[in-house]
Amino acid sequence: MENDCLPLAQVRAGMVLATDLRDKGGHVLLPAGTTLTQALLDRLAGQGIDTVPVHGDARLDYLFRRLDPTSPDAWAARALKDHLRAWRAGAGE
Amino acid sequence: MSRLGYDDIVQNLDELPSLPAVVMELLSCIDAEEVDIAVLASKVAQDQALTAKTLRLANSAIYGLQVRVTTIQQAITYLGFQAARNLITAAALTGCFASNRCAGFSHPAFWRHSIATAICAKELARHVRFNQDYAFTAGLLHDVGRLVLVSCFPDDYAGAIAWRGTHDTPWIDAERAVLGIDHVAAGVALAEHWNFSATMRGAIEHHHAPELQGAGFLASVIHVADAIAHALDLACIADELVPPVSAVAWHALRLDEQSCRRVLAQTQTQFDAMAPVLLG
Repeated sequence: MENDCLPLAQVRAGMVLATDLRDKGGHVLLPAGTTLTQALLDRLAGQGIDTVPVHGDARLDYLFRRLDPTSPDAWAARALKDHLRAWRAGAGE
Repeated sequence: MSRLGYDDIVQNLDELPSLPAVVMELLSCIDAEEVDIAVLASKVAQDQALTAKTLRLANSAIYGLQVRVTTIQQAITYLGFQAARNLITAAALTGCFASNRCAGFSHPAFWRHSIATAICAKELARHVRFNQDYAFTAGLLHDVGRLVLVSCFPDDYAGAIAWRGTHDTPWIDAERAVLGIDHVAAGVALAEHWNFSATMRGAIEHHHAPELQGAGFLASVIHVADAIAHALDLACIADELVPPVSAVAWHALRLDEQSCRRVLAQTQTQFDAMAPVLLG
């Protein structure tokens, strides 16, 4: 699964860092594999971090964040999302 | 903040940069059966920047030509008239409207999305055996109303961009809330001003409401291409958002898993080849 870069405001506690998170000077703030907590996220905001590389489907979920599951049309967006996820997963095969 | 109406748009259209004559000609002859290729080639050849971009695209890996084309005439011969015309139109349009007086509006991001939508629309059209040429051009132009609003009302549009940042909505909702008019209405005004065909105008007008009676099939193609382009994340904007997808339009395109994956892969591959040349 590809890595996703999310704007900091969209990163949630529980998401996992896909690569080392570095500050503008190139210093490692958090190593790859770190599970982000709210306390860590709050601290990153004060360190000039704009985007965070996280694992998996986080970016896809973010892109489809306005998908309204109660809409009668929801199945269409869901189909697109599912096809996209399947394609991304299979692209490296 | 002022509330704009359709008349405000129309009154400002004359201040927009006019399209290059060669693009107007390409757009106006899109349904013409007989087009004099030699005349077209000589017109394009007079514009060096346009020629250079077109040839770079024609020689890029996606077309897999065995020879290196060095003239527009050769490009038309080897690629075919339709494909060459798409390249010329894309190369010419992305060079227009370059100036930026609107805070927060990214022309490169706008064109990345438009190019992605154009390519995806062409692939969707191929899948359902619709006119690929129409689809490509309509995809390229579907959001042209945003350029109208940005060019004519840069300060108001900056307000809409800020509003969207706070409310996290599709563009059209932010435009309606802040400007009182949206890029669809502005695009329709421009389509009339530039004498686009009724088909092209209809696609621009209905790409957010393809299920409406009389919207036309091209509107469904562009609607779905637009959603896929957003979902492929090709514009490279942090707060990218997939707009609502019309079930009617999605159904009309008969995309099963295999065909959808082919469209996604083709769109990504062709975008990677075309975008750096067009925006470089």
